[in-house]
Amino acid sequence: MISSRTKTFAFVAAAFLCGCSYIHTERLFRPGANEWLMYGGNPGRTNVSADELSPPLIKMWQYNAGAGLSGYSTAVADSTIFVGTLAGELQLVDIATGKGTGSTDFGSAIAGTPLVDNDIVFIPLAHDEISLIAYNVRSSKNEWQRALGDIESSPLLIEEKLLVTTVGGKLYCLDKHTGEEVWKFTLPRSNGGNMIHSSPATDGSLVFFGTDSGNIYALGLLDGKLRWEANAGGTIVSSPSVSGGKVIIGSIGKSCSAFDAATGAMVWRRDLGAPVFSSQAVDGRHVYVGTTGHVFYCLNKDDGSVVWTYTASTLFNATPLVAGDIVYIGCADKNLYAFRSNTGQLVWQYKMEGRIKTMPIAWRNYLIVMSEDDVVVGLKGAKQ
Amino acid sequence: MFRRCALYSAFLLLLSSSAFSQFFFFGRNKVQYTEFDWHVLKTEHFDIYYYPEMQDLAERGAFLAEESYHALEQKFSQNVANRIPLIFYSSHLHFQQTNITPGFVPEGVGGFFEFLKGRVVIPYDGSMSNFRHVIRHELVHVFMHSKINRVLLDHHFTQDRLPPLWFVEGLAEYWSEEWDGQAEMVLRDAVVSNYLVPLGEMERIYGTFLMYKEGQNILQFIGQRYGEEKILLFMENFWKSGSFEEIFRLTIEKNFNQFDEEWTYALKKKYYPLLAAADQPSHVSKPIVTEGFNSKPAFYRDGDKREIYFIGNHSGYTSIYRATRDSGTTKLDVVVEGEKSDEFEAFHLFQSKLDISPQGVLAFVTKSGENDALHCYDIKQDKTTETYHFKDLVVLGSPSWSPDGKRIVFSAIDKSGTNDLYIWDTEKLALTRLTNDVYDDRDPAWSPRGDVIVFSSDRTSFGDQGKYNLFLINVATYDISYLTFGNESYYSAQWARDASSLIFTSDIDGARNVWMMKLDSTRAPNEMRKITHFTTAAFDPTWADSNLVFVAFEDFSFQIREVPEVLSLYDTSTTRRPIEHTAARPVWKAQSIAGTSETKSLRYTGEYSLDIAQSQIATDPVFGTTGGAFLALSDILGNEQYYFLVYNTAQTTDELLSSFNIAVSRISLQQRTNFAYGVYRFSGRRYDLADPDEFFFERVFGAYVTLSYPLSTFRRIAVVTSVSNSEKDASNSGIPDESASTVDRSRRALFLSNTLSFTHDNSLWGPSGPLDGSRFNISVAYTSDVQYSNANYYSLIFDYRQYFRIAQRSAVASRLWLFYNDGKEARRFVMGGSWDLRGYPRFSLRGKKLWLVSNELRFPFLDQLGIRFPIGGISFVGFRGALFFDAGNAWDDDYTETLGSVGGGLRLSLGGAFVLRYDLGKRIEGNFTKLQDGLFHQFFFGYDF
Repeated sequence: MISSRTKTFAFVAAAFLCGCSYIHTERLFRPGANEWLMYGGNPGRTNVSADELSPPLIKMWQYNAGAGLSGYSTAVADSTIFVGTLAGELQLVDIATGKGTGSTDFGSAIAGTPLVDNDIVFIPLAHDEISLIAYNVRSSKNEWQRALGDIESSPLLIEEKLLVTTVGGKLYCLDKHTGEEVWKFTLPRSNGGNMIHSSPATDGSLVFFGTDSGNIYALGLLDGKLRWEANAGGTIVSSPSVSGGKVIIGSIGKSCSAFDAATGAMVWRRDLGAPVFSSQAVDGRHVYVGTTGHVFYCLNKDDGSVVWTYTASTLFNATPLVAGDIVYIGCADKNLYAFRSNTGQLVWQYKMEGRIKTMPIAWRNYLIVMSEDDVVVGLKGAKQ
Repeated sequence: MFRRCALYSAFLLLLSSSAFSQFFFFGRNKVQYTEFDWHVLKTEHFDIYYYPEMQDLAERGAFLAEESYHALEQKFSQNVANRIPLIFYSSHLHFQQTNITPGFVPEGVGGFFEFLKGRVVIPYDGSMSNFRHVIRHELVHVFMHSKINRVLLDHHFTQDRLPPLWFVEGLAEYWSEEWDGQAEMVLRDAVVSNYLVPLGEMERIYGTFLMYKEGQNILQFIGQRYGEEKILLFMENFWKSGSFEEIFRLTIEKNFNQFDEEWTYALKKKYYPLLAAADQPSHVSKPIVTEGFNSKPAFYRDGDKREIYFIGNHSGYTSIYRATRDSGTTKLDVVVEGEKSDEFEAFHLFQSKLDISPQGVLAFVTKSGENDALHCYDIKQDKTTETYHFKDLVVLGSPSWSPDGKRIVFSAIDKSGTNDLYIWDTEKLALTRLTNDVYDDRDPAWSPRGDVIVFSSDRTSFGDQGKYNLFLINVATYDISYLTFGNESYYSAQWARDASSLIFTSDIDGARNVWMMKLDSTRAPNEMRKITHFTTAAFDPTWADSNLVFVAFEDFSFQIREVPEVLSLYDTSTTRRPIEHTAARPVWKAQSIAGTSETKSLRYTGEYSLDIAQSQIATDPVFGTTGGAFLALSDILGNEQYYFLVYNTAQTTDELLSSFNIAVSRISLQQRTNFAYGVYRFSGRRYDLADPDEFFFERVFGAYVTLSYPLSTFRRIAVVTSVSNSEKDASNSGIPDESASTVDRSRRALFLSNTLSFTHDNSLWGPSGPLDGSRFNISVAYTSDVQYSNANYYSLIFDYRQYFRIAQRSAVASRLWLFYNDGKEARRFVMGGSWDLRGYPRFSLRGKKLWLVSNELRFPFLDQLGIRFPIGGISFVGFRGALFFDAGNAWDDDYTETLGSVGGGLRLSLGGAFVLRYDLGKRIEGNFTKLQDGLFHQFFFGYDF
C-alpha cells in the first residue's frame, strides 16, 4: 500500500520532472451559444463570428506563447483561449487578462486548431505516433488517444462524430466519446498526391475536404461513401467553406472555386492571379480570400465576380474573419486590416510586431490576433 | 560557354585561401586594385550597393531583383522580413576584389549568398539574362533560409541546420531558370555515359556542377510527378526530422533508393532513344586532347606540322597548350603557363578564344593586374612580343585578327558593365569602339575579306531570354545586319579561309552542335546544315585545313576532337534548317527601376554590424580558470573590421583588476595597402616555448601597426612595428633546471620591434598540402628594449619551398629554412615534430639559430576506405602518402651536430578543413652517421609544408 506522503512526493517529483507544466482546472467549461469551439467557428468553416465587433479596438494585453503558431487559429470557450503551438504545447489563456492559466506539452506540433467540447479538448498532432488525443482539462488525463498518422489540419465535431483528415490521405470519422472508428475514407494512391492538409467541413449531410492533388471530395456524413469529387485547379492546402449550398475553396492554382454542395458541379471559378494558401471567409453574400499576390479579394458568392479588392505591399496568407459588417485579415506586412465588408473601405488597421499568418478570432468584444513572433494579442472593442 | 559551371555557392569560397593572407606568413593576396566609390540604391525590399560607373546597371539589376522578389514571395508563400543587402559589381574582376567573403573568388563563381549578414553579392558578366538568373538564384537562397529558419524557430528548434547542398543549389537553379541546353547536356551525358549519381550518393559530387544540375533535375522531376507543392513541403516538413532522407520520405512517401529507381528509369527512357539518331563524340570523331579541361582551339599550320593551340587545365593551373599533330601522333606542350606569374595571372577558361594571325602571332587575353591584358605571342620565336593594357576596359574576350594581321577585334566589358566590340590597331595603337549598347556582344571573328566581322549577340527580341543570334558588322560603316534570327542560340562563328562559309554552334534542335552555312556575295544565307550529331554538345568549332576541330563534352570532360572534311559533311547532311531574313527586327529593352518614387540613392557610409560574439570560460590545471568574451564587427562591404577581446585570468579576488586582458584591433582592407593596428594589455601566467619549462608571470601592454602592400596576387611586402611594455617575473615558477634558461628570471623592458618581410606564393594545393608552384618568405627584424636595454637583437628568417609536380596528384616538395637571431636576450626558435624535423619530440630542438632541409614525395595512397558494420558503416576518402627526408638542427653558440630523419607517412584530410598526419621512420643520429635503432611514430595534425 502506498502512503499518502509517498503519493504526494511522487506527484511533486513528477511535476518537477515534467517541467511543472500541466493543465488542471477545477472549473467547468460550459461554452455558451456563440463560442469559437473549432476552426472556422462552425462545422461549415465559414469563419464568420456571431459577434459583431467594430473597430477601433484597443490593445488590452499581450501573451507570449513561446513558440510558433500555425495558420489555423485558436479556439475560445467560456472566456478561455485554447492556444496550440508548433512546439506541441496546449496553453490556456484567460481572455480578460491575457494571463496563462496552464499548459501541457503533447510532444509534437499542434498544427490544427484544438477543438473544445466542454471539458474535453481534441488535440491533433502533426508528427507523432499518437496523433489525436481527447484531453480532459479537468482531470489532466487523456480520455482516449489514437494513432491515425500525422494530422496537420483541424478536427471537426458534429453531433457525436469527430472528423479528422490525416496527411497520409485518410478521413476518419470517430466516436467523440471513445475515439472508436465509425468509418474511414482512404484516398486512392497516386504519386505523392494522396496527402491532405485541408480540414473537413460539413453542411450536416456531406463532409467536404480538399487534397494536395487538387481535388475536393464530398462524402456522406453517415456512411463515409464518396458522393462526388471535383478538381479545384491546383493543390489545395486550405479548407473548404460550406454555405448556402455551395462549397467554396481556394487553391495554389491561383483561383477560388465554388461547387454545388449536392452535386459537385462547379458553380464558378475566379482566377485570382496568385496562389491561395489560406482559407476564405464566407458570409451571406460574399467570399473573402487573400492571395500571395498581395491582393485581398471580396467575391460575389453567387457568381464569383469581384466586388472589391485591396492591395497590400506583400502577401496575404492568413484566413480572414467576418464579425458583423467588418472583415478582418492579417497580412505579412504585420498589419491587421479591417474592411467594411460591403464596400471594401479600409476602416482601421493595427500593426503587430511580427508577420501575421494566423486567422484572428472574435469573441464577444475581444479580437484575438496572433503573429509570427509567438505573440497573442487581445484587442477589445467598445461593445460590452 | 560554361560560365555558370560552379554557380554560386559560398562553400566553394571556404575552400579558397584566406584573403587575410596579407597578415599571415604565406598565402596569395586579394588585391584591392580598384577604388570603389560605393553608393546605396534603396528600393522597396533591397539596399543595392553599387559604384557610380555602373549606376545604369544597378538600376536594371534593381528591377530584376524586385521582379524576382515578387515571384519568389509567391513560390515560398512568405516574404523576407528584413531588407536584403545586394552588392553588385560590374565585372567579375571587380567582384574578385570583394571583401565580403574572406576567401578568394574563383573564376567560375557567378555570385554568392553570405549567410551571416544575409548579403547577396553578384557580378555582371555582360549578359542581362545571366544577371537575372544569378539574382534570382541567390534570392532563392535568401528566401529558403528565411523559410527554413522560420519553420525551425516556430517549432522551437535551433536554426543550426540546412537541407543538403544538392537540394539547396538544385532548388536555387530550379526556381531561377528554365531547364536549358547546358543542363540538358550534362544530364544527357551523365545518363548515356552511365555516371549519373543517385540521390543517396550525392556526397560523391558535393559542390560540383553535376550536383547542381542533378539537384535541379530531381526537383523538376518531383514537381512534375508529385506536384509542385511538394517542393515547398520539403521545407515546411524540415522540423520533422534531423535526417533529410526521412523528410524526403515524409514528403513524397519514398526513400532515396525508391526514388532513385524511379528517377533514373525515367531518365533512361528519355535519353537512351537519343542514341538512335545521335552519337557520343568519342564514337564518331578522333581525339586530339582528352585529359583535363580544354577549350578554344585555334589551328596553325607550320609546314608539315599541324598545330592546335588551346586553353587547358591539366594540372590545376590554366595555361595555353600546343598539340602538335605529326604523322598520326600528338605531342602536347605548354606554350604560356598561367596562374603563376603577374603577367598571366589567370586565363578565362571557356570564355575567351584564341586567334592566330597569318604571320603566326597568337592573340590571347589574361588577367594581368587590375584588368585584363591583350597579349601577342610569336609562335615561331616562342615568346610574347606585345602586351596591351586598356585603362577603361576591365574584362577582355576572344580576340580575332584582321586578315592583314594589323588589327584585332575583341569584346570587352568596361566599368559600366556593358560588353561591346572594339578594334585595336596594333600599328597605330588606336582603340575603336564598334558597338555601344546594353546588348551582350561576343565571339567576334573577322572575315578573311576584311570588310565585316561576325559576332554573337543577344540583341534580338529573344535576347532577354538568353538567346544569342549571329550578326555581321560592317567595319567601315558599323552597320549591323542579321545572319540568324530565332528563339535559339548561335555561338562561336568561324569563317572558312575563303570567306565562303561559316561554321558555328547552335542548340536549335536541343543539344548544341556544329552547324554550317554558306555565304554568297549578299551574305544572306537561306539555310544551315548540321555537321555534328552529338548526344551531348560541341563547342568552339575551328577549321583545321579542310577538317573541323572542336571541343566535345563527354564523360564530364571537355575534349578537343576532330572530324574530317567539313564540306563533305555539309553536302551529305540531311538535317537542314531554313534561315529567315527580314530587314527590321524588334529588339528587347532592359527594364530599369530608375524613376520610380520608391527608390533613392545615397552615398555609402560604413554600416557596421556584429559578425560574431562569443563568451567562454576555460579551466587549465596550470593556468587556472579564465573567462572572457570576443566580439567582431565589420561593415556591410567587409572592408573595415574591428575585433575586441576581453578576458580575465584572476585566480583570487585581489587579482581581479590586475588580471584583465584586453585587445582591440582594426583591420582595413578597403585599399590596396591593407593595414591593421591595435592596442592590447595582457596579464597572466605564461609558458615560454623557447626556453624549456619556463613558466613566468607577465604583464604587457602595447600597440602595433601592420602595413601590407600586395605587389600582385602572388607577391607582397609587409612592415610591422610594435611597441610593448613588458614586466616579467619568473621567481615563483618552480623551474627544475634553471640552467636551461638563457632569459633573465625577472626583468622589465620597453620593446620596440620592426619587421620587414617579402612573401611570394603561387602554390597550388592538393587535399593535404601544396603540389605545385613555390613559396618564399624573407624577413628581417630588429627588436630592442629602448628603456632598460634588457634586450637588443636582430632576426633573419629565410623560408623557401618549391613543389615539383611529377604527376597529376603527385609531387616532390622541398623546403629550406635558415633562421637567425642574435643579440642580447635574443629569442630562441623551436623545432622538432611532425611539422618540421620529423622523428624528434615536438619543440624539443631550441636555439637562436636554425636550419632545416626537408624533401618529401607526396602521392595518393588510398582513395576510399569503407568500413562496414552490421548496421551502417563509415567511409574515409583521400588518404595520401608521403616519403620524406629531413635534416637540420637548432643551436645557440656552438653548432653540435646534424640531425635528420627518413620515413614515410599517411595524411587524411577531413572535409578539407583538417588534416591528420601519421609518420613512421628512423632518425639519423650521431651527427648523421647512423640510423636509429627501431622506429619512431608520430601522430599529429596539420597541412604539409
